Amino acid sequence: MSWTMPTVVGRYLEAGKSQFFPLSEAEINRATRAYLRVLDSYAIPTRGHVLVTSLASQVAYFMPLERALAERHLVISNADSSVFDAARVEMFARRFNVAAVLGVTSETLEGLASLGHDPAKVLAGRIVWATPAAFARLDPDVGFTLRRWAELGPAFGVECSVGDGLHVSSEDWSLEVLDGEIRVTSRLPRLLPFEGQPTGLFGTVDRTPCKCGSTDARVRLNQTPQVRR
Amino acid sequence: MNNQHSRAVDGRNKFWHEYVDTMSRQDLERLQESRLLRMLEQCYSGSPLLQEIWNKSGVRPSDIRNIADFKQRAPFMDKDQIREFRDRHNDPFAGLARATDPMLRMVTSTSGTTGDATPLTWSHRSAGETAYQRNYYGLGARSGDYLLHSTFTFRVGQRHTGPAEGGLIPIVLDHTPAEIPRIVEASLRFRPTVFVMLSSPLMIALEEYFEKTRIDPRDVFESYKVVIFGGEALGPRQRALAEQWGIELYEMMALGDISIAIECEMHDGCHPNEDLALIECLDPKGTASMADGEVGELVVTMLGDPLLPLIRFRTDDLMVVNRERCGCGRTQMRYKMVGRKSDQTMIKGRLVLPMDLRSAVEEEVESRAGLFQIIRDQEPMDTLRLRVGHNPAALRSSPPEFARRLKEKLEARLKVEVRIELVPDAELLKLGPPHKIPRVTRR
Repeated sequence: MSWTMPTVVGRYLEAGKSQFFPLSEAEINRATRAYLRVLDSYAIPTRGHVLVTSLASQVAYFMPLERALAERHLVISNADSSVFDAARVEMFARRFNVAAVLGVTSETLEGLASLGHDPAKVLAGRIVWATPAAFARLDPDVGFTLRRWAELGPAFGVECSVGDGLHVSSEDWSLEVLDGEIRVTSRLPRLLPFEGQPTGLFGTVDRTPCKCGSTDARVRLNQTPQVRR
Repeated sequence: MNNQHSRAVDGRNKFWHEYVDTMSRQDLERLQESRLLRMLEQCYSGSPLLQEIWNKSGVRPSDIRNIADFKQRAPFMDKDQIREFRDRHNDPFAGLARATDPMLRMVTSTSGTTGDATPLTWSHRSAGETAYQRNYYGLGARSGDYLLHSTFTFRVGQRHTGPAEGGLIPIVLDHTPAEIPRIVEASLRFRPTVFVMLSSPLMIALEEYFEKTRIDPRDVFESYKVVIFGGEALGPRQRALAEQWGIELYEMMALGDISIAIECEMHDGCHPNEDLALIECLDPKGTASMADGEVGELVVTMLGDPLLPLIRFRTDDLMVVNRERCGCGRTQMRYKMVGRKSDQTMIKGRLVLPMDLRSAVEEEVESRAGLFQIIRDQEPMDTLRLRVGHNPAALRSSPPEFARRLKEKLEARLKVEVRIELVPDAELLKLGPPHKIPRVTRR
């Protein structure tokens, strides 16, 4: 494994279009640390079971997450975050004592509904990291710990247990807001550096420490309409 | 170590694990035996399901002293038993492992096209990951090469540890026709040497893409040393397409939920890495060993991961084995799949498998997606009832005329009476991805 060669090539979205995203071992390790800072704010028991839903092409965001989960000795299961694979999400949630479902998308919610399942019941009692679109479709007061997870162009943000904004690694990224849009600039050497990269997400940046103790900057997305059940 | 140096070192060996791939059968069996005896103890102590099966048969791991004992006394298990244990004990792990086992790292699952997916438990490294890495290397991929990786997430997650350890750089794309432009772009930009994996739906989508864009497939695929085909058996249509595109397809097959096996350059069967799995080819209706060259059921025993205690696991897959030394230099066996035991359909005393009709269906432009089902509403049957998918836009005649043409062709090849029900491809695709549509159905 090299620190100057890519370990993997994933993708990030630029104006909705996929762009190739090579990542070195150093970049993946830093992203793993960023996830660990957030994960440690949750009380997931050691050897707890976590279901990760993602698409293969999102490897840049989920490879570090899986490494972080493995480092905390959590048991991992996977499902595709597609309409088609929603049945697998439901199966894992129903049969296993899954503590957290991470990466829930609106496609998964749509798939669950099309199979006749109430997503709120499937996810009940878990920690749920949902994309902004899925977050908007879920009611946060129905018995699960609902937090946001989002791609911010090449960066990612995830809410800690406090749920007061998406933590974005301050080691890796500088954040700025231009015309309301969050933009990211890479701070440390990367195989593919970024300067003022638009993320397509609109909101504000809070650089004060979070109540969880993290000093990573937090992004608060503009309010998205809540769809109540 | 710079890239040039690592390539020079890599170039000395043909195989990832030279000794294991080329050891004598006698040495291999000695290795298998030592791993088997250790695996039996570990699996038995960690798996409530295995304890139940073995206790019921009155055999203990300590009763097994060698492979001959094992083949004579060890009880069988199958997927139905796994599911039944899960449901009876309300145990999500299906008795394969205990939730508290400190070695448990992952719970993966089968595709689940016929109901709830069956759980499969893994420790830190699956036998499949090891097998992939060895096969990539054996087929010529070397450190610094790009690997275009397009498979499903749910199978192995996002770890990609095998390629990384071999110095390969995966470019990870979704396994969907929507990714075709990206596959083409990645191929032209990174010039990968390995593509895992092409499937029938991806090849159909690529064919349409090349027709539409006039992009030269030979240019796109120029850099690939290895293109792996999986999901179902490789048919003549896919082989012909690959030839047009200038690529050499290597067939990949499942090894009974334990691992995978991939062809070598001789294209004479898949090598299953026998140090990771003990393989038996048995009478599908009994326990007798089938000779090499005869059709038998693949029965596998895990030798690589005690967290997946599949011991004498009857896979329902029908295989033909060849244990002669392979032209690639391996001494390990190779095998070909001929279908699924449960897919065998008896028509007026003649045994018909889905693979017997696949090429006839795929040869017609209207049904080139190869989507069809055998409708087995009773057994035995006098007539082969088929539901065949077609692309209405590709019809060259009326639907009844197309059905008649296909029926005559199938009857000439299979020598049985055929009745065809035509449905649009889209109807069959509601049942799952093309390679996962049940080939035999009751209605």
